[in-house]
Amino acid sequence: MAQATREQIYDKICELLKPYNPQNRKITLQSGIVSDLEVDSVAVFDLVMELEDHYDISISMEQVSDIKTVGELVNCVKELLEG
Amino acid sequence: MLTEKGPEMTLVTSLPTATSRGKAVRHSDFKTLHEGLDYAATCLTGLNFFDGKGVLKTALPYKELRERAIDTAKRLVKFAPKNARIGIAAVTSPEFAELFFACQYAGLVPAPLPLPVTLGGRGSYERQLQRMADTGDFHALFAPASMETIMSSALNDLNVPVVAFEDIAAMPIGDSLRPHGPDDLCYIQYSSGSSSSPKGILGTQHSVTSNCRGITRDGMGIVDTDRATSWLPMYHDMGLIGFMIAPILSQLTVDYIDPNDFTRRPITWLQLISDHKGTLSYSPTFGYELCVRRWRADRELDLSSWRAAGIGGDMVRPEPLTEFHKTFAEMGFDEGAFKPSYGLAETTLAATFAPHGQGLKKHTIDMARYERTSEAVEATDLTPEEHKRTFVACGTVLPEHEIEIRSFDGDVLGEKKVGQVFLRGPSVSPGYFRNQQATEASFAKDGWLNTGDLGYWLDNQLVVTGRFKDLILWHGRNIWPQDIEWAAQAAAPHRCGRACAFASGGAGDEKQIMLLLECRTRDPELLDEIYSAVTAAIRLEVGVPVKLMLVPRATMIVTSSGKLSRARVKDKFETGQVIDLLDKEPMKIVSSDAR
Repeated sequence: MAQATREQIYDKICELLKPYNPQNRKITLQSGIVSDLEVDSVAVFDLVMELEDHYDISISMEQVSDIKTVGELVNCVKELLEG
Repeated sequence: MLTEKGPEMTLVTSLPTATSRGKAVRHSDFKTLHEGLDYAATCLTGLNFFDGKGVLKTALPYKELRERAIDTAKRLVKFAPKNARIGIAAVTSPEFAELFFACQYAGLVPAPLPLPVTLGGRGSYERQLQRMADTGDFHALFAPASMETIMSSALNDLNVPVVAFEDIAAMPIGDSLRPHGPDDLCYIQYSSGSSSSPKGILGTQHSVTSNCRGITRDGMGIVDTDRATSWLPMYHDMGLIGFMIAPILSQLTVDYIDPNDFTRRPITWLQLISDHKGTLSYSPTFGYELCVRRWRADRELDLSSWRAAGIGGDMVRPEPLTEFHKTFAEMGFDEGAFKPSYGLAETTLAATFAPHGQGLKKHTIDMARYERTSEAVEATDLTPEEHKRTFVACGTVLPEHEIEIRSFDGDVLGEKKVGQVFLRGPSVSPGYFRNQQATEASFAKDGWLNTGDLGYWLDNQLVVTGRFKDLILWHGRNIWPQDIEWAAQAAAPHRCGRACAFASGGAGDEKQIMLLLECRTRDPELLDEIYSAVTAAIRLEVGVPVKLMLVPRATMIVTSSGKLSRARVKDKFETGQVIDLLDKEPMKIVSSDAR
C-alpha cells in the first residue's frame, strides 16, 4: 500500500466521494471538498475514516483543518504514506 | 520514577486503571481541586486514553497524574506569577490533565482552549483563538507540538508565547509549589457565548468543588462500582467538569476516546462501555443519534452495565433517544438509564438531574395554547397533530441550590407556567472574566443567575423549552425558532442542511420572520421544489407567514459547542452577507444558444 501513487490515491478519493456527487460533476484536484461537492461535516468524517482504514494511516485534526481541496487531501495521504 | 527527559517519563502501562478505589468514595468534600487529587492519588483509579478503535494508548493512574502535575507545577511557579492565565489546548490527553492540575498546584488559572474541528476550518479557528486571546490576557499558551504553527499564527499580533507540551520537561524547575487556596480562582471556561464573542466564565475553587459535590453525590450518586466513559471535548463544560474534574474529585476511573475519533467511529464509545463495564456516560442528543446512524450490526455489545446514560448540553430531543433505545435494547441498554439533565457553564456545569431510573419523562403539550397564554397544557386527542410538541423533564434541582421560574414581570410562577429560568446557589460562577457588562446582564447582585433559558415546572421537575433570547414574538404569540427549523427540515423533499429562523426588521408587526435553509444543490428545479414544499409545510404547521430563503451550505454559524448561533446568523443576514440561491440575477450573461 505504501507504494500507492498520487493517481491511485486520487482515484480512491474520487470513488469514496461518489455518493456525495449525485450530479456526477467532474472532480478535479482543484475541487473544493466542502464547497463544490455535497459533503457535510458528518460526511467529511466518513470520508476521512474510510481513507484512514484503506491506507492504514491516521490523519490528525490539525492536518484536516488545513485541507480544502481534493488535491490537498491527495498530498496529505501521500505524505503520510511516505511518513 | 520521574525523570526530566519528557516523554520517557510516561509509564508504560498495559492495563487500564481499576474500577474500584480500594478506599472509601469521597464525593468532592474538598475545599480545593488539588486537595481532591491528593486524595484520588491514594486510590487505584485513574484516567485511561483509548484510540479510535478502542485500543488503550495510555493509562494514567491518579497517583501518577499527581506526581506529574506537581513536577510541572514546580516549573510553572518559576514561569508565571500567581493567578496568571494559562491557555491550554484542550486535547483529550494525559498532558492536558497534567497541565490543568499543575496550574492548581502552581496558583495559576488554566483556560482550556478549543481545537480545530472541521475540514478546511483553520482560518475560522485561528480567528476564534485570536478573539479569546484578545480578552483572555494569557501569560502563555500550551499546545502539542503538532499545533504550534496554528497557535502561533493565530496569535501573530499578540505577544503571547506558545509552549509545546513536549518542551515542558525542559523548563527550569524550582523547589516550591504555590497551591490555590479555597477562595481562589480555579479556571476560565470558554463554553458560553458565540464563537465571535467568547465569554470567559470564571470558576472558583468553591463553585467548582460545590458543583462537583452535587454532581457526584446527589445527581449521579456515585458508588465504588461506577466507571465513567467519555468522548466529550475538554473545552466544553460537560467534558471538562463532568468527565475530568468531577471524576477526579470522586476518585472515579474514566475511559476516554478523543472527540474526533468519536465523530469518525461513534460505536467505539459504546464498545468502551461494553469492554470495561462502564456505568456512567453523557452526550448531547446528537451523539446518540450518530450511533444509530452508524450502527452496522457488525459486532456484539453488552450495554447492560450502563446505569446512567446522561443527556445534556442541548435541548433533549425524545425521538432520536427512543430510536437509540430501540436499536440497542437487545444489547442490554435499559430505557430507564436515560438521565436527562440541565445546566450551563455559568453554574459550573449541572443544575438539575432526572431521578435514577426515570428515563424520558415526556410531556406533550398544546403549542397553540402555549404560544397564546404561556401555559404548558397537555395535548388531548382533539389537539391537531401539528400543534403537539413533546418535551422531556430534566429532573429536580441540586440540594443547596434553588431555581425560580419567573414571568417577564418578575413574578415567581407555579406549575406549568412558562417563564425565564433563574438559579441561585454555591455552584454559580462569579461572572465573566473582564466583561462587566455581560456579567451584570446575567448575574444579579442578590446571587440569582438569569440562565437565559425558558422553562416550566412539571411535578417539581424542570422542563426546558428553549433559549429566551431566540424567542420570536409575533402578534402576541411566542414562536420557537426550533419549531420552524424542525418543520422545514422535516418537509424538505431533498436532503437539506441546517435551518435557522429569526425575526428581522423592526419591532412589533412590521417584523418579518425569516427562515434560512441550507441546500446542497444549486439546480434551480430542485430548489424550486424545496421552496414550495417547505413554504407549504411552515404555513401548515407553524401558521405564521415566514419568508424562506434557500442558502448555500456553510452559511450558518455555530458556536464551539456546536449550537446554532441564531443571533450571529441574523446579523450576517441583516448585513447582506447571505447568498440567496433563488436570486434571479438581473445581469445574466446571455448564453450563446439564445442569440
